[in-house]
Amino acid sequence: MLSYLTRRLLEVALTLLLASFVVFMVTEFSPGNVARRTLGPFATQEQVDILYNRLHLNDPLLVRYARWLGVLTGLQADPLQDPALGLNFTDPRGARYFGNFGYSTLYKAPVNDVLWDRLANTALLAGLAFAVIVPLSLLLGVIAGMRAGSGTDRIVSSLSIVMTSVPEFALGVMLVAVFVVLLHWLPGTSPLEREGGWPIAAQLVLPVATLAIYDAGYVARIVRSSMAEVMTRPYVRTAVLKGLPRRTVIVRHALRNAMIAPFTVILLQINWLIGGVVVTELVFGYPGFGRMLLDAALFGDISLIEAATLIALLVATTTQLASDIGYRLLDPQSRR
Amino acid sequence: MPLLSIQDLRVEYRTSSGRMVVIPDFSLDIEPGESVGLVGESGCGKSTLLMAIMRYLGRNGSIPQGRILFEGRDLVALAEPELRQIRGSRIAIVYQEPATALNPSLTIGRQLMEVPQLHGASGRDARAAVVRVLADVHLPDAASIMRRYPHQISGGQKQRVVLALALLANPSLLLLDEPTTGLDVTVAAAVLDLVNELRRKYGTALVYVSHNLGVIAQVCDRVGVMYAGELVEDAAVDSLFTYPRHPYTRGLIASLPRIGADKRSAPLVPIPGVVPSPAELRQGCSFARRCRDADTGLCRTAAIPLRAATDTHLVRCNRFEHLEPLAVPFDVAMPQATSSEPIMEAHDLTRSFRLGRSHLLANDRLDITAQRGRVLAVVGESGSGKTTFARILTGLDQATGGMLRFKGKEIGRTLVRRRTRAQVAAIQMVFQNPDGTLNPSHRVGRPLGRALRRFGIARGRKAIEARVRELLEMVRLQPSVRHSLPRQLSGGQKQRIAIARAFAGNPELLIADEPVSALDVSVQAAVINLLLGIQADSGTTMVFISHDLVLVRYLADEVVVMYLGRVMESGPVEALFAPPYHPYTEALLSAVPLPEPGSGGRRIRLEGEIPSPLDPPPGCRFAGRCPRKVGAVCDTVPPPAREGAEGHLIFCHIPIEELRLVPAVVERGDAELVNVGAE
Amino acid sequence: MSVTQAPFPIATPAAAAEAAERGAPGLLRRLPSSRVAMVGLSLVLFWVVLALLAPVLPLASPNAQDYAAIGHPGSSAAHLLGVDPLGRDVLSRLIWGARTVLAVAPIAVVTAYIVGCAMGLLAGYYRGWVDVVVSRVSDVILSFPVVVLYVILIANIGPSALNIVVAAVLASAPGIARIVRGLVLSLVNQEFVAAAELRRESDLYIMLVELLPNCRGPLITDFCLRLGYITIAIGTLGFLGLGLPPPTPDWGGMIKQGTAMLTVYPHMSLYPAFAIVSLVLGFNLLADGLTELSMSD
Repeated sequence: MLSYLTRRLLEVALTLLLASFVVFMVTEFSPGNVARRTLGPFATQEQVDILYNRLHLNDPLLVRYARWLGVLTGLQADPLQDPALGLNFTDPRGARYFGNFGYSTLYKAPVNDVLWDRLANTALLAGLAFAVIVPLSLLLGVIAGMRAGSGTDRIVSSLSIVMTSVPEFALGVMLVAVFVVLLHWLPGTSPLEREGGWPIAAQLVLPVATLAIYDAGYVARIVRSSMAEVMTRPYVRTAVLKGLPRRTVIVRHALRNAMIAPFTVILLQINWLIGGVVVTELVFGYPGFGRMLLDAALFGDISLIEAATLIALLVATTTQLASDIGYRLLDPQSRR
Repeated sequence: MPLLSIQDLRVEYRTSSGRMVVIPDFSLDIEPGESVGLVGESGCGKSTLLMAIMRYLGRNGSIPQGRILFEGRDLVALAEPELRQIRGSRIAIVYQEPATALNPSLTIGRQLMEVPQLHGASGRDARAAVVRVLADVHLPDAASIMRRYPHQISGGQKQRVVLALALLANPSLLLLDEPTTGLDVTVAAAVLDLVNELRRKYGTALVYVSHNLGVIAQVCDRVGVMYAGELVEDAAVDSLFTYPRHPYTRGLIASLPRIGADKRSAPLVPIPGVVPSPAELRQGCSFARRCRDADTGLCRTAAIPLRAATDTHLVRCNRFEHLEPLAVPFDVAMPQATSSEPIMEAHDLTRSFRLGRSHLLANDRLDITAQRGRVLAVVGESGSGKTTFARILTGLDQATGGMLRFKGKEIGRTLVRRRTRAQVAAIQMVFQNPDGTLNPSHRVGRPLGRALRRFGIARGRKAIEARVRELLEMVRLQPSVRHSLPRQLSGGQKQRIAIARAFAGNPELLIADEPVSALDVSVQAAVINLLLGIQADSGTTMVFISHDLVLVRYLADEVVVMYLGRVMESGPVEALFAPPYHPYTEALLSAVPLPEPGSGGRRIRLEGEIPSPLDPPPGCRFAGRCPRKVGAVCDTVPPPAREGAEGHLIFCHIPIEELRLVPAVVERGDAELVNVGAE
Repeated sequence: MSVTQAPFPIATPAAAAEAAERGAPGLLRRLPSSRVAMVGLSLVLFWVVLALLAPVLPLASPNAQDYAAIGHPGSSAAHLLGVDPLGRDVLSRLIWGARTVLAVAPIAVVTAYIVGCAMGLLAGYYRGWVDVVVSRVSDVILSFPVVVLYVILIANIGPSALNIVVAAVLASAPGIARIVRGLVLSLVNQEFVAAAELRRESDLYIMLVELLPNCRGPLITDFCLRLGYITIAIGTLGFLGLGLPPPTPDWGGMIKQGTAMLTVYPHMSLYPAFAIVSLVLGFNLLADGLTELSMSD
């Protein structure tokens, strides 16, 4: 197990490194772009050229990537924070520290000042959604898969296939139309501020529902097919023919085996939710990480895009690792 | 009162293509403590019958008619809670593939203890009961077994655990569905012994389902022969094997090679055709279509009743009194290839794999020679390295040491893509698994045509087409078969295509890797006859890989016995099947269940199972399980070659004189035919 | 040797026909027997037919602005489904928008399949370092949250139909490669592959002719599901403002534009929302029906 863990950790680190290079490549592939975006649309070409030279942007991509990695890990000072450039990018943490994501041109503040509050908001949203998705999808999936082909199965399966056919942006609009416009039960925007007169809890209902419904349908389908498959296995037959009551057969013999395959899928939903929040936060004006990422991408805020994507990657790979480890704990056959 | 009385039972399945009557009308009584065997080809409804007794037919199965009286209660009419009282405690079942019968994510102990606990035992009592039963199934280290998960124990151990599971509640009826299928010969023999022993000890009535007549003869008092869901013959076991009356039973027996018989003295007689699908309409005798003795009148029109031939022998045949003695439908004298020119020679051939820090010696210094035009059999259980040897021979794998010459040229390290076209065409192979041997997406004529084209045998569409037809005729298939997809063919037909494909390039050496082990006995006989016929006609040399000693005795000229990558014994077939034996060969021979009741006789049984082939000890590979182990020398020193007769080598530390003293395991049978009509 | 046995009769015609119906090749032929699949197919065909007929249907131009209608954007005789905030006919934009999505999504999925199948076949057949490289690349791409990948890609290479296809291929091919690789690994040790090697078939022949056709069962289902995913992705990009540049009618973009008036005139967003849901549902039902069919025998 220990050697497995070290091997997986190394793999995750390698994946992260390669992925960060991909991010860097996508955002900073054309160096002229970098200087222009840093200075904004109103800078003169002359200013852009000066910055281009100062930052050594004509170096090869790999060299620039290494330098960027140096800044991030605190081995190197952020060149943009050099007062000589006159950009006035200052970070109270200093120019050299571990986790220096640089300076956000959109928010005119160090990335670390912008990032974490929003990430916390998003964690709240995604966490609540996850807390809805898991029990809901397990319940639906197990009920349907227990008696594959029955009436209940057909109803639940149809429900979950409809759920997973409604993308977040469409669902958000529909929910607003019904619960805000028609029924006036809930607020249509969720700025997480008290001023609108709606309690925070009420502001969270629709975003959470939007995030959860599509995904719960998807997971329920996977749980259902796994459960249905396990119910046809010979060991379930063995359990039935031992004379065990149906409840025991399902709880003791079927459920655990049926959960092994969906377990990985469920954890990977965290990865999916990161994408989902981009859309949901836009629909509801939710002050979170997803909207920040989108705004940064649309504005061309290079440092913020890179930081946000890296965080997303970190969450994704950590979940992947957790799901692998959990899988090994859950399935005795993978342990050996 | 019988323990179990099945009366007019009908079992149907609903499928997308309509209703399938798997069992049309079945009646059978079983007395307490009796052991009844059910035998028949696959698709005859044997397993369905067991599942009907357990009332476990799935959502689409139903019992529209009939009663199953068990201890006076009709199982068909019981409600679910009452059924639960009976399942597991009064009737228990063991089925094939023990690997899947146990829950992979619960420990063995939990799965076993569940049974007594279900019947109200405390945790401590349950554990005690489990330990007791585990000892009964010869798994003495109960504590360690109970802690483990199913994947951590071997196949033979799993089957013992499943048996223990069935016996825990001390049922009065035990159903066994092919419990030894898929196990190695020596392991299966031990499980069979165990079943016999437990039956005596527990006094349980048995229903034992098998396609293997030999197994049935060893375990049962009474045999029911099933065909297309019907009981066609029901007799005491002696009566059935000495005087089979139904043409189907007679066909099954005649299609088996008799121990001691060979291809020159007693050819196999296959049953033509296949078991009808349950979807087909029945009229008259269900076997009439495949029966050599059916007449056009009564056999094809009226339903046939079960009639008493003697007090203990029932048969469902109109004409059983009039049947001719079973005749051999063709006179074969398999030509004896007399040449002794070696076509393939392996010397010190070695294939090792590295697995982490361990070495796996799949083939370890093999010395094997095949003579042109003759049949060389390579015998061994799983892990013996026989398939690895075949793969090196064909160039699908390469040796890591030693030499392998084919027609004088070294080919041991030449993979197939580096061999010349002629070399590739000259060494071809028929594979084991009929379901994997043909590409499921391709019409079956395609590989034949491709082979002809790739080997330059025929050019142009017309010529290829014509040659494909010839090949199909050679394997006795209709030419129109070439447009079929593999799933439309039976297992036997697929193996015929595979044979045609192997012969497309006019090979000089054909490797047949267990080509019939997945087929029903009646089909086996036909495929073996075909293979031997083509081999003899074309003068091709054949390397026949098998674990079936009776079959090997039947068809081989020379035999090599392998164990864990090493050759144990080699020599002419007659020499190998008579003393002196290598102890392993002796154990293999005595593990063969013979279709002759009471033939048990002298047996040696191997302890344990085939050990891991990783990092083997320096001495004899077989030392760990050898019942005749001499001493420490067996573990440390490689055994010397002892010469029994000319060309007969035994690798053993026991001196040859001593080995000669061992009595024969099987008497050489006279291969007389079934003595039908002798009364 | 003289064998008096008659040649084996091939299975009876009825049984043969029944057998031919089974499995992947018969899958599409047996489609009508699955009600779920037929509902899905009709939903998809509904949009396909509308999209094909768009030029001949009596519709307003999708980009023509009816300023008079902006004041009363709801349903009217002139505009059956009303107009959008710019006074453009919603029905017309829906139908023309269907053309966009039904052109871009299949092209993206087919291209992704070509790339993904090639990657999966190579990795599964050769294993070794090829497999390591392909699997590593797949891992890296799959570790990105999909939407994030789309956003940073499109934000940097710019929104256009071609770039959406490029992004979709990049995001989907690794997943397809993973499926194909798994299938190939389960097939490559089958005896028919060894038999092909014993005919000295080329690697390309073995991969494309022996292996790939046997992957089609699971791939057909995945193909339908993926059409749904890509439809959603295109909609999402449109909604995020990274879709096809205006004024091209694009369902996601229409929903986005409508949200400004959502509290007053929800129809502007709701109609395109229903459109996209119905199309995705069609693809999903089709996939579900196909899975059901392939499992039923």
